[in-house]
Amino acid sequence: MTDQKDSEFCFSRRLAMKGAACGVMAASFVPSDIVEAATGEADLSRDIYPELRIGNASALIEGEPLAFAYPLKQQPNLLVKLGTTARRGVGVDRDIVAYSTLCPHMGGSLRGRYRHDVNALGPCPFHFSTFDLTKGGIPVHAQATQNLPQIVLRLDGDEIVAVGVIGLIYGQRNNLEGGDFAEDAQKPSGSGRRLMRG
Amino acid sequence: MTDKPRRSLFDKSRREFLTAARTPSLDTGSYDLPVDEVPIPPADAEVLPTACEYCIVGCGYKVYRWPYHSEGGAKPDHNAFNEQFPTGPVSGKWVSPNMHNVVRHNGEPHHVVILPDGETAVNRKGNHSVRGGTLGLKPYNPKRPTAERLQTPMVRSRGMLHAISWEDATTIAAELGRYAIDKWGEEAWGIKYYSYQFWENTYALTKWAYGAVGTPAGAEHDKNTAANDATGVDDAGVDGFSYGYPDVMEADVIVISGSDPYENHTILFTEWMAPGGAKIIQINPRKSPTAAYAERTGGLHLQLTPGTDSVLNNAIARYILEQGWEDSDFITNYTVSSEDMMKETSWRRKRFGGPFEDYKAFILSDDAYRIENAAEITGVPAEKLILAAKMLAKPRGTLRPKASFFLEKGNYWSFNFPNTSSFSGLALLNGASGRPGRILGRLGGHQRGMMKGAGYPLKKSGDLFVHPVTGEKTEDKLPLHFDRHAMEGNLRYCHVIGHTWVTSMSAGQALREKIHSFTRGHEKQVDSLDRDEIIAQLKARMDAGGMALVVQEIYPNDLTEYVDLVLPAATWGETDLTRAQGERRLRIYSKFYDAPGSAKPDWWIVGQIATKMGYEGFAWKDGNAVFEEAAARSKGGHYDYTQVIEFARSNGLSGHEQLRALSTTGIQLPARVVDGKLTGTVRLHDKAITDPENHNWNVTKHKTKSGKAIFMRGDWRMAEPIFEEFKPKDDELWVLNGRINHIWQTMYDDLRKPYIRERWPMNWLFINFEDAKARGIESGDLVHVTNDQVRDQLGRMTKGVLSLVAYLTDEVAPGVTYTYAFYPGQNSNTVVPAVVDPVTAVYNYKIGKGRVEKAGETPLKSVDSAMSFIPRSIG
Repeated sequence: MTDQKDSEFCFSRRLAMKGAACGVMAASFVPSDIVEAATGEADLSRDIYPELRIGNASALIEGEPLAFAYPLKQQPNLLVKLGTTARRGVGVDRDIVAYSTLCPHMGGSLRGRYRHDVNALGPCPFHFSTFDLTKGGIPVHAQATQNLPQIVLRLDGDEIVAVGVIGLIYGQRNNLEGGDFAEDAQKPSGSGRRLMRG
Repeated sequence: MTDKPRRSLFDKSRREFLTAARTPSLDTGSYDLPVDEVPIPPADAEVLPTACEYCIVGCGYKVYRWPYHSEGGAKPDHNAFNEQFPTGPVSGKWVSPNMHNVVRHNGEPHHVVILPDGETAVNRKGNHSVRGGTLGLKPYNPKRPTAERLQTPMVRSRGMLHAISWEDATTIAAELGRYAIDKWGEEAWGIKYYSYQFWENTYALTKWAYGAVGTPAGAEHDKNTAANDATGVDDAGVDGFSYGYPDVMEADVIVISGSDPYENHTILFTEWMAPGGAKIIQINPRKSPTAAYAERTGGLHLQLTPGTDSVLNNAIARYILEQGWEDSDFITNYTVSSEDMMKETSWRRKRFGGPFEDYKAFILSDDAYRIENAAEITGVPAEKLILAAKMLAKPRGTLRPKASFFLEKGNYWSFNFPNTSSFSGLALLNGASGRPGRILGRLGGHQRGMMKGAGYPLKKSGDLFVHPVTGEKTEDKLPLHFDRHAMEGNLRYCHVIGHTWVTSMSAGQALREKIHSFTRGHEKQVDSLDRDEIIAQLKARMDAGGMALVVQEIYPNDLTEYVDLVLPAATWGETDLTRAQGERRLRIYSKFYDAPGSAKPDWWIVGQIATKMGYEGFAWKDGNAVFEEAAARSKGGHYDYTQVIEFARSNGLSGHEQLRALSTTGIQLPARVVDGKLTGTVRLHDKAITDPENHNWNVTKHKTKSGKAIFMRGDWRMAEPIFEEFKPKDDELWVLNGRINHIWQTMYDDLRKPYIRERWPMNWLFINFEDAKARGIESGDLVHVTNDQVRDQLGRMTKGVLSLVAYLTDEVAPGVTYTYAFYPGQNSNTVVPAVVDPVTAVYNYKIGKGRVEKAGETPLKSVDSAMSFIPRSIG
């Protein structure tokens, strides 16, 4: 059984500056009647992923995950330095990765379930799905019908930037629909990553 | 994006095009192209009930179908689920991209979403396994890997397969079959077939083979002969599928022998077994996910030496007997006396069955079952065996724990009779057969899709039982060993339906070589496309000692390499079909799209050929006609649905229409009409079930002459000689095979599910860290397995070889390795000798072994490949 680590803390410059708690991450879902995209995002597209600066690579401690929301406010993720080379990993050792923490089986929260000894996330409290964070979020064993959605990262100098998502986040029919963008989300610097239709 | 229903553009094909371009290879990772948007059904989408194609649990699914150029919206009134998107956790309404496909319906493209149905009685809340959850990838779509479907009848001429008409194809099959029977007798006409692909089909093909033709040369599914599965449970008089899933929740303790329900009966485990809170005692050489679960939730993992099950079961029984903890009330009320046994006619029951007293005397008579001796033989510490006995039977005040006992192929695929009998004996001792929380049953593999149109003609078989310990030769009939019969050259015509046969059986390489020599390797080959010439040329081969091989299939596979005639079948979703799942729940599997090309249902193909062979009673007008006719064969049995048909007729409905009205919940058989309502049977063997209308209902009894259960004696001494001869020696390791969570059967669908192939791109060898280190093996290395002791069906000692990717894990103990059973091209039974259980005549699939050597590296070792090598035993 996994160690129940609830030591993950939220990582957002704005939140950090405000000294605010990370309640937004704990509330996994918006109430179903709040869906219309609303605030302060006139410059953000619903077809192209925004960019979000989520921290400095040099500040990451191996094996200690950080929580952050992306691309929408209600979409919880973890950022972790695995200490071993990983698929789509960034950084000098290609070992920094980020993933959704909503189980793509039935939406269970995988928060606090990172196992550093094997670089896996899980088992999900609902139906025990467990995912390999070194191999693109493929199941170790799982009833999920897709890999754990991986957050695509880019390194700008020392700064880690989320630039897209591979896979459909649980609950969504489209990763960019049905909620506010994460705080501090910005227009992509280039043409950006677009949605891949099913 | 707006929230309004909108029209899709043709740009949707990008992902589909790329996945179709992928051929089976080790190049995984590069084609991992998950999408991040999925269409959802509009409010006016059509909804059709079906159930899962795959495992025994048979979860209910709904198919949502709508025209291609439209789509539902995120607001509740804009989609068929009446759900706001994004959905919340456990909504049961979220559509994963792998639940979606585009199919042809009435000639026009349609979207389909195949969603677990949270309203069904099985998979509450829309829960699903990875197998059922990816049903969306199953339907034929020419832009996906399913483009490989067989779509036209074909004959092999000049070495290649050529399209021919159904008229010619069915005439060729009929003429050749007729010729074989007329010239060499019905035993020269053989049939190998699936046992579960729907009642319409199994009824038609068994009516043909065992009724009309009357051949003893038939074998179904995993067996080399027409035998039982869990024989010792059947012989005890217990139906392996007596229970309903709510009954499982009542148990305090659950013993699981040779199966991993999390992996293979997923919804039974995650929705019923785990929430019930029972302590689990897992008997398995592997620390698989359920074993890990058992250990972390207060249960036990008894990690035994492969094949020693009968010692373990009998040792626990002996400890219970020595303490006087047996369930005396149950034994008195539900099990046979010596007088009851006088009525029995089955030779196995008479030889190896009896009342409790005989069983007790047998258990106490063999020192192998003393705890300390059993610990040595099984490799399970004595204290764990004792703890298991205490968990099962030690009284808790005035009450005894409610204990349930489930087994599956890890148990009965080796030493079938001793293992299954010792298990059923242990269960009866603890009061388990068919009451809530006190169940003896199978966890099951596939669904209950067999509805026999005629019984197997046992009297025509010449195989006889020889006692393995005393050497006594008897006149007791065993069913004909189909594979040996074929390898001896006795089959001139062989008809295979939905089965890979040669590659999946024990000593698969020897079997394949023989069948090749009779067919594609034979000197007499077809060089024409003229029907009469084809028939004449194949008759010439049959005359020269060869065989004509006809295959009904949905995909090309290892067997179609040798075939003369291919008959493309329509399958799940392409025609209305019926069968029952593990609670005897009968449902319809609705047609929802057009079968590819000219593929036809198996019952139709069989009907055409049988009619042309001159047999009457095969000219059905549709699948429903077969279903309604088959009801008569079910009468009086545990799958009796005659009253379903009567009820349908009284409502002016067809049988299929009645089942569609019962939707994904269906009806648990046997069914009857009570107070004008169709009523199912929740469980069997339970005296508490009443029969207010006095239908002479046999559901409360056991399936024996007296209606009481029989203690069968599972004797390790009948397994021991084979165990000693074929166990690993020197530097050899056990090479076991079986199932895994993601994969279904011979991978006929999984090969065409890119998501599944990414996880398991080739067959693998789970090997313990210690064994791997001694051989210089790392995860991702290519390894070769060689077994020099593969005795084949003809008694020859042959060599079996196998190439796999190494996967280091503590899931297996030192000395034991594990592979997938039926990976195409890498079938693990090639390193398993074709040695049969002497009592039941079925293969011992679990006695594989071999030398394991590193042979290089695979690309899967790269971090950029997708295959995970994290041990699954982590929880």
